[in-house]
Order: sequence, then C-alpha cells, then structure tokens
Amino acid sequence: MKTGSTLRYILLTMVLATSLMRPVIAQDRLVLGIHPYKTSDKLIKAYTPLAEYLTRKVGLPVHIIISPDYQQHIDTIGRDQFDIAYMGPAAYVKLFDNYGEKPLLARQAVHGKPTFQGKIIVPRDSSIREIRQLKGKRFAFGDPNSTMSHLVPRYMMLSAGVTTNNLKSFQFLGSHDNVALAVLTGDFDAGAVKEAVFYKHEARGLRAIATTPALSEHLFITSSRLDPALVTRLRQAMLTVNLDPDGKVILTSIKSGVTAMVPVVNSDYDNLREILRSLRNSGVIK
Amino acid sequence: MLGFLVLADALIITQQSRAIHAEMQHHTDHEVDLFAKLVADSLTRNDYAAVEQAAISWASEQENILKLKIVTSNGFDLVNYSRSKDVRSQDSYKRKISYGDDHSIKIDIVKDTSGISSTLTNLVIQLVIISIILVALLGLIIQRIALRPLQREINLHRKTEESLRHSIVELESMNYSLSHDLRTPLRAITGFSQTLRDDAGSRLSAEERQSLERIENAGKSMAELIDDILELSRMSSARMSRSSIDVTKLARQCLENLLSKYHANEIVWDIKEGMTASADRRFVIVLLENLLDNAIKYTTRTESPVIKIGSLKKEGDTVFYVLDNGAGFDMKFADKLFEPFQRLHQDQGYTGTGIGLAIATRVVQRHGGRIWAESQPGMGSTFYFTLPNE
Repeated sequence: MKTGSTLRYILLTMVLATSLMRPVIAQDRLVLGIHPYKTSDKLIKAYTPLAEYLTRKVGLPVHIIISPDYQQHIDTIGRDQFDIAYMGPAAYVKLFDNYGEKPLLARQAVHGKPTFQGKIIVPRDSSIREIRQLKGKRFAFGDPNSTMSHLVPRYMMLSAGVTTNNLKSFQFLGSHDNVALAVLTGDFDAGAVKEAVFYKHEARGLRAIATTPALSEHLFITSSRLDPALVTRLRQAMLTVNLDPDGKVILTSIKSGVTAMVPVVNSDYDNLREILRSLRNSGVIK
Repeated sequence: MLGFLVLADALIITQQSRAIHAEMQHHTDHEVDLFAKLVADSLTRNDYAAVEQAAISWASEQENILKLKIVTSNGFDLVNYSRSKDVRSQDSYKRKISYGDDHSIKIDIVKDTSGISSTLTNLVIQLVIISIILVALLGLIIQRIALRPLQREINLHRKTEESLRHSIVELESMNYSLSHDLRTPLRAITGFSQTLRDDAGSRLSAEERQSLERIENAGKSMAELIDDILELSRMSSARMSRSSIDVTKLARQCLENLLSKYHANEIVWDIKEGMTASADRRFVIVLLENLLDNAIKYTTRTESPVIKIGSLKKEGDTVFYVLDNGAGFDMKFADKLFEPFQRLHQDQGYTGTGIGLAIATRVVQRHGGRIWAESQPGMGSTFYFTLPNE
C-alpha cells in the first residue's frame, strides 16, 4: 500500500512535468485522471476499456492516472494538468468554485438515470413520520464526506430545524450499509443512506421518511487547454459509447449499472451547489 | 468370550464417540468464541456490515455450518444464514454478546455432526470385523490346544472302558461255562464213588469205605462251590427289574426254608413287620438267603441262638439289618468279609464256600446301596444294607 502510493506519486509527478512542458496545441496523447475511490490497479483495469475506446475514436493514446487523494485530484484538473478527468458531483462543485468553468463531456446514467437520490430511513414500525420528529433521536450518518449518507440529509434536517445539537446522539458509521443495519438493529432511531442501499435493505424492515432532491451523477470534464475540436470529438465519443459494440463492457467496468453517458451542463449541479453553500454557511463543512 | 468382546467393543465405541464429540465441541466452542469476539468488536464500532460479511464468509467456508443466525435485541436478524443439507445429527451453539452501553445480540450456530456418526459407523464396522476374526482365531486355538487332546483322552478312555467291559463279559462267560463244564466230571466222580460204595461196600474195609465217603463229600462241596460261583456270576450279569416288594414276607419265607433245611429248630427268631423296598424280588431273595444262611451257620454252636431281621432309619435312608448272636468276627477283618473266597473261620469247622457275602454285596451294589457289618468275636454280628430307590 505504502509502496503503491509512493510509486503513484512518482508516476504522477513525471506526467505532470511532461504535460507542463508540452505546447498547448500539439497534442500527442491524452491523460485521463481518476480519483482514488478504489485501489489503483482496480481502477486502471476498470478504465482501460474506456481509454482504448477513446483512443480508437480520437486517434490519440490515452493514459490513465490515479490521483493520490480527492483534493489533489481537484487541484490537478483545476490546473489543467489532466486532459480528461472523472469526478464526483461534490468534487465538481468544489472545482468550479475554485477554478471556474471547464468544458464538460458527459455525466453517467445509472440504469438510465443521470441523477441519484438518498433516503432518510427509520425502522418500519417507528412512530417517526417526518424529519422534524428526529429531534431527540439517535441518528446514524455514513461518511462525513458522503453526499447521500451525510451532506444532503444534513441539509434537509437543518432546513427542518433538526441540528446535531437537538439530536439525542449521532455517529458516522462509515458506510451506507452500516447505517441501514444500525437502524434495523435498533441501535439508532434513524439514518441516511443512498437510494440503492435503502432498496437493498427495505424488505428487512425499513421505511423512508424523506427522499433527497435528485442530484446529478458523476461526470467527465476536460482541461480548458484542450483543442475545442478535440473536446467535441471526445464528447461525441462519450455520448455514443453505449452504441459501440463494446459499450456495455466499457460502461459497466466503470461502475456496475452504468448504462450510458448523457449530456451535461454546469447548471445540472446547481441544487447541489446550493446545498453545499447552505451547509458551509451553517458551519457543517468548510 | 463373545460377550466380553461385545462389551469391549461397546466400551471402545462409547469412549471414542465421547472423545470425538468432546474434541469437536471444544474446537467449535473455541471457534464460536473467536467469532463472537469478532462480532462484539465490530458491533462496538457499529460496523454491522463487517459482521454480516464475516458471518457469511465464515459460514460458507465451513461446510459443516448448517445455520448461523445473529439476532439483535429488537428481534432483527442481522445474519440469517442456512445451508440445506441432509444430516443425521447436529449440535447447537449459542452465545449472547453485549456491546456498546446497553445493547446485546444473540448468536445461534447449528453444526452438522454427521462426520462423527460416519466416523463411528466406520469404527463399529472395523471393530465388528476385528471381533469376528478374533473369535474365529480363538475358536481355532481352543480347538487345537484344548479340545483336541481332550477328545483324544476321551476316546482313549472310551476304548479302554469298551475293552474292559468286553473282558468282563468274556470273563463272566468263561466263569459260567467253566463252572458248568466242571459239573459233568464232578457228577461222574461223586456218582461213581457212591455206586462203588453201594455195590462193593461189604467187600471194602472200613478205611476204604471212609475214603470213598471223603471223595463223595469233597465232590459235594465242590458242587456247592460251583453253584455259588454261578450265582455270583448271575448276580453280576442278570437283568434287574425293580418292583415294590414285601421284605418282611420274603425274609420269613427264606428263614423258614433255611431252618427246615438245617433242622435248626432251636433258633429263636424275630422279623419286623411291614418292611418294604423297591427292588428286584429274585435278587433280594438271594441277598436274604445268603445273610440268613450265614447267621444260621454261625449260631450253630451258640446256646439259645437268636436271629433278628429289622430295619431302621438313618439319615433318611432305610437300613435293613440281619442280627445274630453267633460266633462274630474281629472288626479288623471287616474289609475282607465281602470279598469272594475269604473265610474268617475256615479252620473252625463252619461249612460254606466263602462266596455268600460276595454275592450279597453284588446284589446290594447293583441296587446302588451299601452293605457293612458290625461284630465282636463271640458276641454275634449284625449285617446292615440299604436298597435305595432309584
């Protein structure tokens, strides 16, 4: 693990160095940056079909780089040191806030839907019917940085007047599954999870008292320095990837359930942007 | 032998099954404890997913886990794993774990123990086979070592007995024919000497006539001896048939016959009334004749002779006796008395062949009884005998 991350560092530094020295227009290859949501070798394996597909479509070799952490990922694409980057919605909002607009390629659609939602859950036989009633209760969140197991539900709770101060207790349990199970075991009165996890455990005795707004899915963006014609070709390739004979393999190896890449605009992330701003104002996040 | 083996086998099987069970129980207890600790640790961190994952992977790796259930205090099945499998036997393990401030969880594990059953079945089969082989081997060894020489011994004895019986029969038949054949020349001797005395008596001197008389008398006593030998032989070999007999009546008949034969009218006698026995009538007559003959013979020189026949009860048996107040004998010769040709008073002018008591003994023996005598010289003697029922 340690050796792995050190290697990744060296590799990244070399790539950054070469990309910095390179003239803006003369493009001899493309660098695809991925944030480290899995181990490097798994991610490289997962994105290789897409890299090969893009090479096939635009005629340039595509190299995959895994960022050492989320912040560096944002900073690297912000400084246009990746040609293409894959990002989560919150990271994109942060990138936009810090580095301004970048050309967008496409956002992913999972089972046909380019948005995702979360649920605030309680045990099926609980007396809690709405968010207000969470006051004085024990609440389970997932990861502090997680959109659906913390940030968005936290925003909804704040809007309804429920703060961490008037909850009886709250805890971050790490994963969405843990939140669902914590509510099922009765150790917590309520919790926040992404939709998919709610449906997975619903039959075991869960009920949703609130559904979050639909937030736009993960997206691919490009460096501002990339030739607009090339960006267009890349966008075209992305939006038609599901039509390619290898489309299904390319998409599902990124994440199971991804069915297509659909058009994306900056305003698709406005609701999230609003939520994050609100949370920042309340001091929940920096 | 077989029982011992069965017992030993049963003992081994129970011991083994107990040991295997205990070992497996211990092993599983340890495993379940470890698992319980893992679950407790994970739950303390509220990492329910880790519990779920660990439980499922542990249960699916362990072929003999049939059921793994983890139930929270509110009745929620955090883990409910079950494997459908046909099993012959199973064991259940339960744990209750506390975590956090006041939470608890129950673990319920069911394990397939059919493995033990099949191990035991194998053990039983092995033991049965070994036992059968052992029994067969031991049987063979016993036959070789013990039974065969024993059988040889038995056969040898049987053969000896056979040849002995054969010899006895031969001897008795020889005895009989010899005695029989001796009669003819004897009859000639006594007959001719009598004829000679009758025809030529007047011409012979007194000395010569006495010699002839002696020859005659010797011939007569030899004939008597032959008769007695034949009687003894008959008593040894004749068929016997028991019936209820009146001993008093038989004794009276015998005594009366003998008294008239010997013209012994001076003898005072007494016979107990109502004596009976289950015996051969002819044999008992011979027995009584011999004992009474003896009694009369040895009282000839006694003044006011007395003969008494009676019975008494001794240790549940009826003991008959013939008592006289005659010559008597010294008890140191009591053993010789009942053997053939043994006479204690040979030189004292008492007549007889010396076979009478031998014949009496043979009769009593053939009835399975005992005969003995008590006496003192000059004080008379008492002969006792028993005729037990079969």
